[in-house]
Amino acid sequence: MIHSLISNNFAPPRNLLQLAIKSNSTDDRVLNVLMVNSLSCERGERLLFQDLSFILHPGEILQIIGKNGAGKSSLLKILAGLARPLTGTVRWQNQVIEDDRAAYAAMICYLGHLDGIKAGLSVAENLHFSRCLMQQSLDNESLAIQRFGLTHYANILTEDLSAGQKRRVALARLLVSSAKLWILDEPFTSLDKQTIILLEQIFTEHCIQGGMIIMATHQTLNISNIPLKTCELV
Amino acid sequence: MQFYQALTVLFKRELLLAFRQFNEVLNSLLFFILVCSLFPLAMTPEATTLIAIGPGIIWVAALLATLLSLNRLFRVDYLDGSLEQLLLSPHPLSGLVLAKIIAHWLLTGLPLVIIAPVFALLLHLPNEVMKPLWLSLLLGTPLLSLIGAFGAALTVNLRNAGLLLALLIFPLYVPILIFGAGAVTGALAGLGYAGQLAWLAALLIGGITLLPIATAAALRMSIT
Repeated sequence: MIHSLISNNFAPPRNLLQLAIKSNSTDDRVLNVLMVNSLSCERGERLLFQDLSFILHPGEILQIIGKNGAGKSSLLKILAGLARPLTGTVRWQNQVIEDDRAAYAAMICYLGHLDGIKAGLSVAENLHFSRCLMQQSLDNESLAIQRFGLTHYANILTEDLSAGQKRRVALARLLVSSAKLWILDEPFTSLDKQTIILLEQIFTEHCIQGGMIIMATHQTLNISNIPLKTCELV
Repeated sequence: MQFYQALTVLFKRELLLAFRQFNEVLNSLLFFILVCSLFPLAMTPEATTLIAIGPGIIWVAALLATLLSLNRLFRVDYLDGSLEQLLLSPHPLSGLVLAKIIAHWLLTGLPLVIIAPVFALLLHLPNEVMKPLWLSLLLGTPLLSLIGAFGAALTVNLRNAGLLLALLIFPLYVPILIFGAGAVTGALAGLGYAGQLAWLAALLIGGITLLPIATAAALRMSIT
């Protein structure tokens, strides 16, 4: 009963569907490809999903949907290397991610359902710290702050900000990161309409530049020209 | 160079956060002061008794004060999600952990080391034992932080970890307590104290080399 479905707008005949094994996945595109192979995950005694496989190419977005408790966050944690799957492997550039954790960590930017910012630090300090933890980053902290409309709050402690503003501080991390793969857990939570539009713009830019995004969200994405895949966990 | 930058930034962040929430830093120091000053009131102000139990009191108080501060070390980061970000950094986690432990010692261990001679006077400890007391605390308190960090990392995802944490690390604290208090009582008895200090130094070197690696592994285990 518990299994995962990946759909491309047609009803899956079985509980397992291979997604995106497209004809154009030639050898040169094996580079920078995320390959997920028969993943299964257990929480407590409960099997959340099993036999989950997909391939994600540069420039693609994978949206993970599913009921509450279906295992979306667990899946994202596994993909980020924060949790271990029960079975199966996650491969980046054809290498299992646990084999070279540092190399993989340099390629991803993960944003969990917790913001991961320090309440006792200001917006600018938080962003600077996040950037210093990355191995490769872009030197555009103030630009990132400006884009998310936080310029006036740059020197304010984040404990004094609203939930949506805190989320924006966490999201600003994406703009200073040079990571190829963004893994986002409910990125639109507590954001206002304007910021959602901005975020969709940022996603589009990232994918046009060859980046890839995996996100769990119930929001209908308003992104055109970008190959969008969905994966439903049931 | 980048790794070095990450370490210094993390170290500075820890200190900055501590100074902005200074009452939390004062907690363990206040605890130490209270315990050390209550004993003369509760027992007897008589010098001979206090001299006999003085080294033990100071060391036990230092140990408990460190224990009190351990919850803060990784738990807060775990709750606000910044521990996840630390774990996802491409930099070696053991190095980042060591930076956090050093900051923790600077904020909890070092104040105890500095203030301990004052309480040694209060407990009528003679001047000759100041040096062994001070040296034993200087070598011993970083070890308390290192071992404590390991225990805190193992229990970071547990809600009521306090008691379990204490049970986990007390056996590991025992040798430090014995050598630390033993150095002072040895000096009081007119015996040498170099042996105990040498043991503490050896344990400290072993701890600095191995415990950050163990702590990093424990953090990964607790999170996954």
